[in-house]
Amino acid sequence: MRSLSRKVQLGQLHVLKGIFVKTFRIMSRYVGTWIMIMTLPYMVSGLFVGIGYAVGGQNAQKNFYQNTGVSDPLLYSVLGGSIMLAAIIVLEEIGAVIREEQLIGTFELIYLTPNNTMLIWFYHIMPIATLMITVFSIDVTPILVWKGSMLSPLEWVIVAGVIFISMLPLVGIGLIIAALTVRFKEIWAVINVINSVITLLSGYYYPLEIFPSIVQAIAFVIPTSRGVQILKDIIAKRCIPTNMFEHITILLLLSVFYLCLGFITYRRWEYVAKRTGELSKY
Amino acid sequence: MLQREQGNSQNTKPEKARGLMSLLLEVYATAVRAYKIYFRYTAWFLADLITTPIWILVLLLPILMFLPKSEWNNPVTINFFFWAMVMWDIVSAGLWSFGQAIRREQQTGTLEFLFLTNANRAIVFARSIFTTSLDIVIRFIYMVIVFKLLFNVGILLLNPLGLIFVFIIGLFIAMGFGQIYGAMVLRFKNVGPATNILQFLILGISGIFFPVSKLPFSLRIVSLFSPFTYIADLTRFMAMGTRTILDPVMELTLLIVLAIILDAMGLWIIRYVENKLKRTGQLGAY
Repeated sequence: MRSLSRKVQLGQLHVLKGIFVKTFRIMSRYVGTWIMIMTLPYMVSGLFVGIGYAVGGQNAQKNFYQNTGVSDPLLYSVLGGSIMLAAIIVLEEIGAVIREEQLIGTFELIYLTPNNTMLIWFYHIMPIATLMITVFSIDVTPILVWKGSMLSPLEWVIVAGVIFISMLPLVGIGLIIAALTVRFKEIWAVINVINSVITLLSGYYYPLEIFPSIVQAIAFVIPTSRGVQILKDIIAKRCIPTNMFEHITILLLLSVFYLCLGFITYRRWEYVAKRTGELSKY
Repeated sequence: MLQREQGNSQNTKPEKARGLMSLLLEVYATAVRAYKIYFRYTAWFLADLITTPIWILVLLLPILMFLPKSEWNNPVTINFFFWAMVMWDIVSAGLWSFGQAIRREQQTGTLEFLFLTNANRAIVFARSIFTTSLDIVIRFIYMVIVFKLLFNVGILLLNPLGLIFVFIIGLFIAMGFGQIYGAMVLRFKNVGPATNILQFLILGISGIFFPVSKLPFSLRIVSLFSPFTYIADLTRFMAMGTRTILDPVMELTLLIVLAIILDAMGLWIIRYVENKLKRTGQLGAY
């Protein structure tokens, strides 16, 4: 009995490994896309900083500091841009996972395997988060080296952890979107709406304090907003926030909340879909 | 001899008329097809309506961080940004429509069927121009309202007819580049990453969101070779009455000449790549 339980636990590791290998293999096919993903935060930041200096003139940097509390606009923007990209990719990958499987004809095959589908979708966050943390590090490191203010190993660990925990609630939101796939065939339209709202209220490129208090209150439940705030403090302001523990606790609570919501919604859809035959309806 | 010549000239007229009729028929068929596909996906239309003001804010707020708070509602800054967005909407419609249409046909497996017809390649692959034109009109009206509500700033429009003319010329120039880009898609298949990099390069050096006079000297020289610099320049001149780099008539003449050359060149390149791929059997390889 004990060996059977051990086999089951190891089986989960095999599933996780399988998803890792599958995701990395697929992604390694699109080297150009990854180069684009890595350079995109620089291109967007270059555009913002360029236009900013053009419209702000001589006082541009001073104004930027007064508005954001950070003196280096490039670091601030690349940092925000890298997290924004990570959040968008996680939501798109998880939200559209069913549609993608449906389109390539492998969706039903996953249901034929003796695995928990919820866990299969959940495991997708692991390779994606690993890649996005790597992209984030590759993007931010050159600026930190240039400024001569590299992070300590402990700070890197905290940064990686914060990125991972900030992405977890997005898996929950992604699962809710995934459950809507059968109803809304064009799931990317739904993802676009959700992504735009999350992007606006996360404050990737600006502090959330510029919004009215009611908008700030809504931004409170957007998981990435808190993660970005911590990362800005650690990387751009070079200080570990005093209320770090509070931030992390709230992020974990948000993760539990969104994951539970996602699991319940997905399970409910799956239950109905299996009975009504909607599982194979494209 | 004379009789034969007369006979020939009599035959050419109906042939030309037939040619024009078939061209119009191709335009009609392409437009009908484009709108049918467009209205099939209402979710995208609704998503566009919801997300447009949000993305405007996401793009505008980081730039405002470089200005003191008192200037966040500055009408000049807001108008600059507004017209840049409208102009870029139109230009990018022309730039990417051919490439995207070719890629879509490749993915849906209908590209070879289109190449079996004698239809004009430029018209067949320009289908998204029809739907994007409708999109742009809707978005324009919508953005005027959104800007008024968000920033309490009125949008300047000094010379509407002149502006429409600049937009049309701008669209044709972009279509010329778009056809060259389409030929690249035909040849190299997935060129999505190149699209994004190219887009940012054009945005950066052509002074779309700010006058090129603000660029460093070396980049300013490069920007003078980009036709998009003059499209942006004339857009601001027609809408807001700002000063232009060259004489406005000279800029307009330059753009018209460029539009003719680029469109002719684009069409020739697509034909050239198509013929080459047909000879090597790579037309159907994705």
